[in-house]
Amino acid sequence: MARQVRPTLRCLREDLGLPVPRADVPLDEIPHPLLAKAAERFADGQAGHERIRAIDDQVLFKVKIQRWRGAVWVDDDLAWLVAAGQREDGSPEDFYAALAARSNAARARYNAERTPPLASTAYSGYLLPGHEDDLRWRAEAAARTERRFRTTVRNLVRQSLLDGHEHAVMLEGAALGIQVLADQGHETYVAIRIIGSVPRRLVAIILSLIPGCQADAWMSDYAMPERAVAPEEQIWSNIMDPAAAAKLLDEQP
Amino acid sequence: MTTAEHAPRQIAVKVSPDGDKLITSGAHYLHMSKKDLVEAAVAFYLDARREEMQAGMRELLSELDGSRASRVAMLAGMTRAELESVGGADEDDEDD
Repeated sequence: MARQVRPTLRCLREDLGLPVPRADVPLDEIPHPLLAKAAERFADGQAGHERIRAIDDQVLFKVKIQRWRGAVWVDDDLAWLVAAGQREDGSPEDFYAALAARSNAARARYNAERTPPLASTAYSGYLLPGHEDDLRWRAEAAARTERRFRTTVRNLVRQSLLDGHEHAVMLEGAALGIQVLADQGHETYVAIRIIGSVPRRLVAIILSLIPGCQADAWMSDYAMPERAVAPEEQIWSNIMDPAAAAKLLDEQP
Repeated sequence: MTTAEHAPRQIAVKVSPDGDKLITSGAHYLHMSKKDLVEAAVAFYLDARREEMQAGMRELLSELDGSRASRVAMLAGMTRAELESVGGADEDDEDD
């Protein structure tokens, strides 16, 4: 299975000297020669890699290109660039020697502060992805989901505005249907139907993406005029600002 | 003489013995039929729960300020400050 290679945020900021991009840019797509080389080397999970022998508490691999040197830690189907630096003239391995020295010092600090002491000669745990890397991973996934939700909801609203019928798609394992009825006593009525087990925050996101609706005016219905609500079905309705509806129709889909 | 075919269809609802006892004494107390009490009570309860659901949704929606960052943070289950600390989210395609 092809692996992505991501830098930890610490490595990105401190070692590569790059700013952290918005969550819409996946960290594995940041243009940098060392990341490109790591992606090439670690894309194939079967390829052999050179281990950094001086680091004995974790398995870290070398990655090199031009003057850049890096340390890669592999976690299942994801590889992380956890440290990086540049080779200095006349000292071809100095990045890895410096990394070993830092890790030995970290091990000494670790053992001074905690029990039981580490039996390894190095401690590189502080380099591995941590809480902020988990936050970043979740933020990237959420940014992708938000974009998908936004496009889907606006397309459904636009289609229903054009013909007055309900339009539905499957989204995150649930059925999402939207019906907009314009000219209901000079008002534009919008109904959202969701069938499936959906976290309430996803419902809130969907409702918030309907243009021209007041956030505090959403009504929940437990029955429809012509039928009962189905199991795991929820229905929300609101009045849409006709100007927002017209603006949406003017947009390119 | 009325015929059965004009009578509205009735549906039996099964309840526990304790529930039946409560419905029976409640109907006596309110001078209602058990059927009317159950129907009124269900409608009352559903309205109360609907208010609760709407209030919960209004509270969630109040956390969204129309910005894309607020939506991304909610989807990710993190605070805006946490999202900003790891890069934030683009607002470039925001046109609501």
